[in-house]
Amino acid sequence: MVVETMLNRSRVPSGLRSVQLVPELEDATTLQLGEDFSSEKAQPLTISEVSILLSRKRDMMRELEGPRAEEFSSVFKKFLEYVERFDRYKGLEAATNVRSLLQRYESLDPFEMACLANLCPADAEEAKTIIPSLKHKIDDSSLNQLLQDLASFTH
Amino acid sequence: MGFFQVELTKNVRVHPRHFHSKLKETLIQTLMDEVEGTVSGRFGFVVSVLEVLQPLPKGILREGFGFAIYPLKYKALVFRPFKGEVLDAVVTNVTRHGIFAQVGPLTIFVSRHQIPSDMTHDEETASYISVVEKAERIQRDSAIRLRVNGIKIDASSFTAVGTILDDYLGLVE
Repeated sequence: MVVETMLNRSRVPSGLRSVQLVPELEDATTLQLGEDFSSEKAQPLTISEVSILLSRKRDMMRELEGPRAEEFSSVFKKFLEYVERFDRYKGLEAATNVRSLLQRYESLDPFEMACLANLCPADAEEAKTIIPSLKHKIDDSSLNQLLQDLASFTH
Repeated sequence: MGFFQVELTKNVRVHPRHFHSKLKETLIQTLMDEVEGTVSGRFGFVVSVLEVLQPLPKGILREGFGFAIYPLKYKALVFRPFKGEVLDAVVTNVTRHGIFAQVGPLTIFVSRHQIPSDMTHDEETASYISVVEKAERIQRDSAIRLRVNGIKIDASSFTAVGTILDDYLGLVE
């Protein structure tokens, strides 16, 4: 916090500018996720995909004998619980179908694809309100079609 | 949103007692022990190591110490929150100052001023109840859809604040 208040962007020598100012420049509504999370460096995953990955890991750990078997970090346990609750598609087949469906819409950013899958908006208006970066990227009727198709995969 | 697959690097230090046929397994296990469950301001929560990139690099022996350092590259599943994104969260605590909700281990605080004014705080049931629709009640274990308004990052953790004021936010499920 002290760092944030002390550094005034225009007067800071360029070498120091990268320190702790990153959060101020980030904004998911305009897809500004910073360099570490650009589409070249990071792949956004849907909650269903995460659920599959985490349950596989949990099953693998359980197969090990001895003290390692239940040694999950609390971070792991809490996210496992979270994704199990909010996974709308349930199962590898549905998750794969959802991913294939989204990939067809090439005008969408991968981050937007994951948001649509995770939030499952009911219609184009809701989608464009909660994911504002979609506004001028896709017309309402295509978006409504996508949302209907997504809904058909939900459980 | 939130969950990403990223490629990270970690220098894993190994004691000479492990310089035998099980070295590879030791390396991978040590990596997992060291990074899984950690949180950084830059990459967020490291939830799981997904894959260690092969072939494994050669270890660099430390002069005079005998340890070897392996600069491992690996794919990790991380959770990194962003300002402006909409997320579903589970309510853990309700007070007259606002609502505490969690996304996994991340706590997000929604202040009273970021809750619609047509919801009133009910002390007795520790909930927020809609004056229009009495059945609409936010309490512990409710799921709410919120927008992250702000994130403070320091070296090892996040604090986040959010809102349920805008359209399409609020109680879900």
